Parts: sequence; C-alpha cells; structure tokens
Amino acid sequence: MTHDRRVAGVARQVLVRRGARLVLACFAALAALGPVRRGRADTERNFAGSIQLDYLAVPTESIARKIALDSATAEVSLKVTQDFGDQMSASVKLCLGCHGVEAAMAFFDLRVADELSFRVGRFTPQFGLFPIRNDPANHRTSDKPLPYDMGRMLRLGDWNLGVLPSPWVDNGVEVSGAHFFSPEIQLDYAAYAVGGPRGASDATDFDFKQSRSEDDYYVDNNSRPSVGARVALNVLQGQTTVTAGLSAMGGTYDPENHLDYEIAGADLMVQISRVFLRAEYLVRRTQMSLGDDPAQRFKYGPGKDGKYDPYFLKHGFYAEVEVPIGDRFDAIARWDGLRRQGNVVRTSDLRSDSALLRYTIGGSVRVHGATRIKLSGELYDFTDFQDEIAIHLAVAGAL
Amino acid sequence: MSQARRTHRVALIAGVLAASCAEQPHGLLSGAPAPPPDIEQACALATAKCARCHPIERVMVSRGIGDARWGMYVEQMRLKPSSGISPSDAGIIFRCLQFVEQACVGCKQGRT
Repeated sequence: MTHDRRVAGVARQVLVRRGARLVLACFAALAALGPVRRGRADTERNFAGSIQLDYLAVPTESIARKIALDSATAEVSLKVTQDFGDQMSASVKLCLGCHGVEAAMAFFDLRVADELSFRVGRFTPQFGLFPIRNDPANHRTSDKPLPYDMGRMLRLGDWNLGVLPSPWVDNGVEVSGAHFFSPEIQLDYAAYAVGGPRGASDATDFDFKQSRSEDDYYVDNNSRPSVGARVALNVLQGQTTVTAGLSAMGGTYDPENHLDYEIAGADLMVQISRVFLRAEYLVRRTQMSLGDDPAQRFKYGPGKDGKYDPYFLKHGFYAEVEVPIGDRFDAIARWDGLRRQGNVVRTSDLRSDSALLRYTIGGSVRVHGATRIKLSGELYDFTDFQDEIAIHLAVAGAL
Repeated sequence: MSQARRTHRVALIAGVLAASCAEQPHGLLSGAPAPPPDIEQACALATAKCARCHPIERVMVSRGIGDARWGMYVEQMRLKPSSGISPSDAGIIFRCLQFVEQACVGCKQGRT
C-alpha cells in the first residue's frame, strides 16, 4: 500500500467516525425532545395528490390570450410525507402548473410540543386563510381569490397578479405552534424568515418570474431574508367555528436592498356545519425605484412638495359564501377586488388610482369518488378597461 | 325588481342557508351500515373539521390505508394552522375513521 493510499484510508476512517458521531448526536437530540407516544408505528409514509384541468373562456374577447392565460390549463400535485416518529416528519410536493414542474414543498417538520414546531426547507409561509386551501382539489372554484391570484385573472399583466400570489413558495425557516386555552379556544402563531419576493435593481414592482427562474437560481437575490408572522384565534363550539387572524410580512426585494415592501392582512372565517363564510383583506406597500429621470419614467409628476412619491399601495379583498346543497353539490358566491394607488410607469394602462371588482357565482358537483366538475361565471368590472365576462369549466380530483 | 320579488328571493336564499346550516354532515358515513350513536357523533365532528380545509371525499378515497396511516393523517391535520382539532378531537376523529375503514368491505387493506 502506498503512502498516499494509507493517508486516504485514515482520512476516510476519520470522516466515517465523525459522520457516525454527528448522526448519533442528531438521534440523541431528537430523543431528548421527549418520549415517543405508543400506539403508532414510528415510521409511516403517506401519499396524496390532485389534478385539475380547467378551461377558461372569455366570451367578451375574440382573442383572450392578449389579456389572460385562457383556454386549457392543468394543475397537478404529488405529495409524499414521511413520519419519523411523533416528533419529526418530512414532506415533498411536486407541482405542475403553467410554469412547469416546481417543488412546492421540500421541508422537515420538527415538533417539540404542540406549542413549538420548526419547519425548515422550501414551503409556503403562513399568511392569511386561503393558502392552506390553495390546492385546486381543496377549493370550489377553478381560480383563486384576486388578492392571491397567480395568473388566472384577466388583465394579469396590467395588474401584475394579486397582492401575494398563492402558493407563495420560498426557502427558509418557520417557527409555529398552537395552544388550546380551553376546548373552545385555540390560538395559533407562526413567525418565519424566507428569501422573499424579488425584483430588478430598477424595479417598480415584484417580478414573480424571478422567484421561479433557473436563470436567477432558487436562492435569495439580496442576502437579506424577508420576515413575517401570523396569529389566529379560533373559537369552536360544536360544529360552529369562528377564526380570526392577522398576518404581516416585510423586507426588501431588489438585489441592493434599497426597495422595501410590507404586506399586512386580516381574515375571518365563520363555519356553521358545512356552510362557510370567508373574508380576507390584504394590503401591500411597495417602494419603486425612481430612476435617474422620474419625469421620463412615470406617468404622473411630483407631489405638492416637488418630490416623487416612491411608494404605491395595492389592496385586495374577497368575501365568499360556500353552501352545500345535498351531499354532492356545493354552491359558491364570491365578491373580490383589487385597488392600486400610486404612480405608474408611462407604459402602464393603469392610472394613479385603479380598481377592479369581480363577481363570481359557481358550483362544484362530485361525480365519482373525489372527482368534481367545477363551473363558475365571473363578471370583471375594471375602472380602466372594458368590463369582461369569464367562464371556467374544470375537472378536479384528489388521489 | 319589485319589492315582492326581492322579498321572495331573499327568503329563498335564507331558506337554503338555513337548511344547509341545519343539515347534519353525513359525508363520511355515506353508504356505511347503520353506525352506533357514538360513531355517528364522531363522524359528524370529523366531517365538520375535515371540511374546513378540503372536501370530505378526499378522506373517502384514502380508505384502505390502515389504522397506522390514518393515525398519521389525523396527527398531520391536527397540526395544520387553525385546524380547530384539539388532542381529544383527534381521538374522536380517529375512532370515526377506524369505523369508516372497517365498513369499507371493498377496500384493499394496507395499500400504500
């Protein structure tokens, strides 16, 4: 055996020993978290998935592709969760949407107690009510409420999607927990640090494509995390539940950390048996880069103080009622909207105060197993464009 | 719209809402043999809790996975934000799912 080979062998042994010590230390740390409850196998694996094929027709436009991602779109998700005893689990979820295959989940959950859990990896941080139901098999319409729209709304380019497109998937860490003060009162909290939204150095809004682009890598663009938190109070009485929550998120979104944003949200859900009333309000304050010559860049001039206001506000809301009629059919009525206040670039068709209201009525009928047919009609009322009608017809199901 | 027609519409909507609110959720026990009263209550609770986040048929299509995996699912769902499922609720929901699992004679037990 040569000297080099001997050195390599010794180094390998040292590495193996160190690795073994690290694994043992991890197991010891996990064991120290608390005793594993009996009655369940220590390692289990679950699989779940969903498929939706939706057809969007816009009868008020001859070629709707100019203002929407119309026609047929498919959304597919496949999720595997592995339990490592009662304290630790790992989840991986792959999604196929308009943007191709993405990892919507890839995280570890480490639970010290119901009141303290850690999530590390790629996940959707807790913000508002809707994101937990973002899977198309979990909500009754084909598309999402406007504050959370991720590309199915009309005039998506003019409006640059909703306030916080869902599912917002990001790399980071989240601390969360829940506590029952009594059988009727549950309080949830979550706090997180994630990469955050992205934009160019001279951006005037988020560039959502940068968050899922191989060219920009799946890493933070400015070395500074965005932070956020959510708290929710649940009042439970038999089959009636009231949930009220507050959410917030903020940080910078440009590579130089000069442009900041803050998002705040409030939500309310009332459940009476299988009837649901949900309402949410989101507002985002976003700083725009004024550039070297704001007079050339923006549509509107400076304020009375002679200065350009670098911020715009984007509000979003929805209120919906979901009513089961019999065992197979669910009816849904929704009113949602967006409003943007602030200066706009010269090329934008929006004004300094633009709004959109949408009225939706729809139904979802279970045809076989967990397969449903969804049909909904939407009336778009724009302040800056002609009103439009959209019709969605979808088949959605869970695996 | 005349006042009378508007009143009729409001009354119709209120009637549908009232009927839906009063309806006992029975989705999980659809097609199951007559359950004992405690299971009926357990499944009413399970149906109401599960429906907060997803249609109840997502549970029905998973039948056949076995008790251990149902235990894992219930725990996962209990830990979801604002699940409204207390540790004692989790036990009740699990009893319902055990019954639903056993009542499904056509399900191949232990499939993944």
